[in-house]
Amino acid sequence: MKNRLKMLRAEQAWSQAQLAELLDVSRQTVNALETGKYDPSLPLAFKLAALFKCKIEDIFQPESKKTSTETNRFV
Amino acid sequence: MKANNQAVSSSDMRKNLAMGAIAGGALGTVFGYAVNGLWLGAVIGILVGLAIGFRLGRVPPKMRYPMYMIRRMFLAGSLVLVITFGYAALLDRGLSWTQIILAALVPTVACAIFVVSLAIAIASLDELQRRIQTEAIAIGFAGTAIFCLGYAFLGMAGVASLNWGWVVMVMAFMWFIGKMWTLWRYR
Repeated sequence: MKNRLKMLRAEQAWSQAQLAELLDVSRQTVNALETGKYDPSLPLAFKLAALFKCKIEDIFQPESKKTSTETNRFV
Repeated sequence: MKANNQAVSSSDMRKNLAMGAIAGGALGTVFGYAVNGLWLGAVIGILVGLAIGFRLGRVPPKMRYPMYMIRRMFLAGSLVLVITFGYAALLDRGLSWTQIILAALVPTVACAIFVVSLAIAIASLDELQRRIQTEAIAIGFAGTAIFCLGYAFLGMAGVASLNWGWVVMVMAFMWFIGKMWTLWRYR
């Protein structure tokens, strides 16, 4: 899953440690989220969305979105 | 280890000192017994433990677990150490078979207390840390299973049977390897 976490954090001028404190997680968790090595649970995703005042899908997007025609080929 | 600038309360400081003294005393007693200096070992252990407890109170390090959980784990670990040591000492006293069986079960209660304190501490972690621990435990479990199976086959081939206590050591080692591996994966 792709995410805009690093960009959103940079906009707020927060360090990873500051964001981790706001989310009540470790800095390692924030780093793993930003690098895409770890996908958050739904509660953490909602927490992130609330923190950045946006929707979850504004932060996280699927890695490769199939177009409707591509999807239809398999149906 | 990074220091946490928040000073601990005097109550926490007392608890840290008590934890240091108990854990240090337990370790010192066991080492002291091994080198025929039980009391000296206990006293040195208590002093070193007090110093560590004092240091933790003055300059609290940043830790993933809250301090009270660390204290709980150290106390449970000390309990395991002391009871196991006590059991080993009791074995030399010529107890009856029933007494030996009952005495052998006491360290398992201490171990259960330690495992529960460890599980509570893991449950307090954030979701990535819990995943890292879970994956490490799974790797540890699989590694220990492979070790046991391998040793079982060696046993069939005539290699001397191993003390079951080694299985716990292997499990701890495999868990450590698993933790290093998962920490590297999510670094």
